[in-house]
Amino acid sequence: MTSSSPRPHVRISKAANRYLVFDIDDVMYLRRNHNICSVFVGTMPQAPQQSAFMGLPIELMAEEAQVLVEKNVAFVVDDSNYHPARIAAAGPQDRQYLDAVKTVTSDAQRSMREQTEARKAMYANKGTTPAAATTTKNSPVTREAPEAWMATLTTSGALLTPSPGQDEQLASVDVPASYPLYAHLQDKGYFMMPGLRFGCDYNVYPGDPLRFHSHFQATGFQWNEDINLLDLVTGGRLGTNVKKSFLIGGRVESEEQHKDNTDATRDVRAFSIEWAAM
Amino acid sequence: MAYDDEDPTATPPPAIARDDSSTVEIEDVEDAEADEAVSDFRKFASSLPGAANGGGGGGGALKNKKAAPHVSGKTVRRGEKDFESHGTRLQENALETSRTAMHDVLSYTRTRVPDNYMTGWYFPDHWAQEAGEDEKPEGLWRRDRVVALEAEKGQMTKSMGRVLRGAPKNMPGWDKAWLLPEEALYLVERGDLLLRWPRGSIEDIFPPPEEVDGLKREVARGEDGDYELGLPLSLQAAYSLFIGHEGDRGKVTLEKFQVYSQLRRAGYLVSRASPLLDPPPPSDTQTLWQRLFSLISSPKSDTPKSHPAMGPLVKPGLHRSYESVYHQLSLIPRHKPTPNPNTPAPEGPFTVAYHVFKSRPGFTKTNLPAPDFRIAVVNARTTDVPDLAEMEALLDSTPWDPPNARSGAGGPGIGHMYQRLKHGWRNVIVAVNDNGMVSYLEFMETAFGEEKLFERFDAKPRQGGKKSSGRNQRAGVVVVEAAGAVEAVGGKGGFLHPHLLLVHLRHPR
Repeated sequence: MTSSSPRPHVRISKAANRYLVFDIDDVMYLRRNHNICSVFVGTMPQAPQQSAFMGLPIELMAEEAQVLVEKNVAFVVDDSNYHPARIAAAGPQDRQYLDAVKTVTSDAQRSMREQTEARKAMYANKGTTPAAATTTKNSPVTREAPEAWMATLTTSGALLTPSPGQDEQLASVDVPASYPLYAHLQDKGYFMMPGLRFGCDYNVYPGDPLRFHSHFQATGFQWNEDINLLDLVTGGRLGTNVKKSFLIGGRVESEEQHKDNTDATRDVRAFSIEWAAM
Repeated sequence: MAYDDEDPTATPPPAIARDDSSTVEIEDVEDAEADEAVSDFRKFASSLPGAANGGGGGGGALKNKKAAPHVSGKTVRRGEKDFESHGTRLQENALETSRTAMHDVLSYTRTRVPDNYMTGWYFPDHWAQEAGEDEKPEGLWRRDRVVALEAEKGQMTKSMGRVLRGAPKNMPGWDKAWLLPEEALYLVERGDLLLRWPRGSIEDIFPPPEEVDGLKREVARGEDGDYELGLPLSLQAAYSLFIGHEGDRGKVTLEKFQVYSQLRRAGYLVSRASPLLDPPPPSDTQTLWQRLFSLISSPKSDTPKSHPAMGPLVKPGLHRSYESVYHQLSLIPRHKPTPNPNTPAPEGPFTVAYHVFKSRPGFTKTNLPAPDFRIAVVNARTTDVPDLAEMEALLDSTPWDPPNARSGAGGPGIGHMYQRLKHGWRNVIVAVNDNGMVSYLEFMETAFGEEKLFERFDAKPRQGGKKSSGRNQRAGVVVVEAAGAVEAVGGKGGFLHPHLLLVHLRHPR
């Protein structure tokens, strides 16, 4: 977790106050190096009729975007404005993007051809009629050019500059009040997911959720905020039932620390609550 | 079982539960339902078409259209997870293979063979200019339709896109199907749609009929072929074009889009809610049965009677039926659902956003049937729990749907009471979206006051039954001045729990 990473910054695309990351390499980088996994929210094109496995993009919580910006590994761009303007301005100078599209389509075509030939060869060796192979390429000529393969790239890649440029509109991040607790747990290496399913702010995992169950359901509070006792009971009770601990926390507020409270992770304390007995 | 509140002994103390191997399965189930990330990408990857030749890139999954069996989440067994890191190489390797599989699966680029995809052009302002500010009230969201399809292909267009009638025929694109932003984005995500940003005006893409033979599109084909006409857009670009704030024309909020696409993936057909598609509220003219029924029940109006301050609640005397007793006991006004409430229309997030239909044969988008579900979408991070007024406005915006045999809530009678209560008089689903995780909650307008349990006390026993003792048939209820009970609560008169009084009534001396 070095602050000055040689790697290009992760580009976070802000669309209507939501934070999205589209580049799979960025996604895996965040997962491996910054314990941020977030939620995959896209339909998976290989298997579009199910929701158990989801694809790109990932939707970052505002807290995650803020942490990454503070660590100087990512920048947030207001894509609702920037991106359409960039596309509208695209001209002959943007060969790179079009070339990327063409490379993908021609790769796809070649691989399709190879597969067909491989299948033909296989059938020829077996001595049977290639029933499947004959049906593949007999489509009538349409008004589209015959080479009109389709490719939708996942990111706009070459159209977008890879690091914070001068012309890009850097956007701010609005974090909720529970941000100090998030930043604190993030700093300690926990993975976190949105807590909707367990009625909390964050679902806290000791490692990558690919391998580990979550340990805590965390809710952030202000240090001097009154907490309804019933909320503690409900949270603790629910947590115990799903084998998690209910965790509350917030930043300690006292007079002498008011001077420099820029670092959100500092002076945060957390408490875990378990249901003991009826 | 884990939520069993009835028997406290059934919940083992947490310390034991953690170590008890027999409870591990419960945890798996809990988490499997809870975390989509449990999904084991290794198994998923191997189940995908083209996995054998390495997956990834554009190559592996190319044949997905023809060769791919549909992969459902359930066919891939869920992976197993550990409690915490124990620093072994075995665990690290398992994690690494999972991550690599995830990387490979998600590196896929959407490609399609010719004739197996649709092309759509992004014209964000076309209908806004055409329709002007005042959209004709036809509920087609004309001004929000921003993508024109060159041609409709495949199953998807069965429920998506509309050719808008009433446009002048010399208008370019008048005969094309136009997509709403959520439809276009969903099709792009599936890989069914190639979205393109036109370089020129709409006339270049959809030339007026008289020009088609002459100019055609050959002019545009240069070194880049078709691409001169317009740039093929990426998924990222599609998100930036279609995702917006609530109320932005030609855009959809991310929370609504996620709910939309999740429902579509699950196989439902979804259309934007339009009040004009709802059936008109039932008129006040009563059916014959209602009139007959009201003749029977009209003498006793539903408004609670006024009682003397010092009681008694029930006039002493002989009552031939429980009904007359219970009627006098009804002190608390009950909610009675009405078909035509005068509630203001809902505002803000608690508004029906989508109509959802179960997939059925004969479904056509031009003639939508009555929706099976109505869904409002709220953002968990910016929305509070609705207050009563919001919930009432939301429910009253849905059509009157009282429980009866037709609505699937069983017939009359005590046997169907719980079905009726569960069905409610109106119902709506609220989808709560927390950063991409969606929970669905169903709300019903229920009227417990409509279920009169005491009516069965008066029911005549069945004829010819051996057990009918004859005594019941003529039994009356003698109400005595329940003086003792009233005194027991301090002589305050009237503060007697109806159930308590019932005990007295049913065992008259």
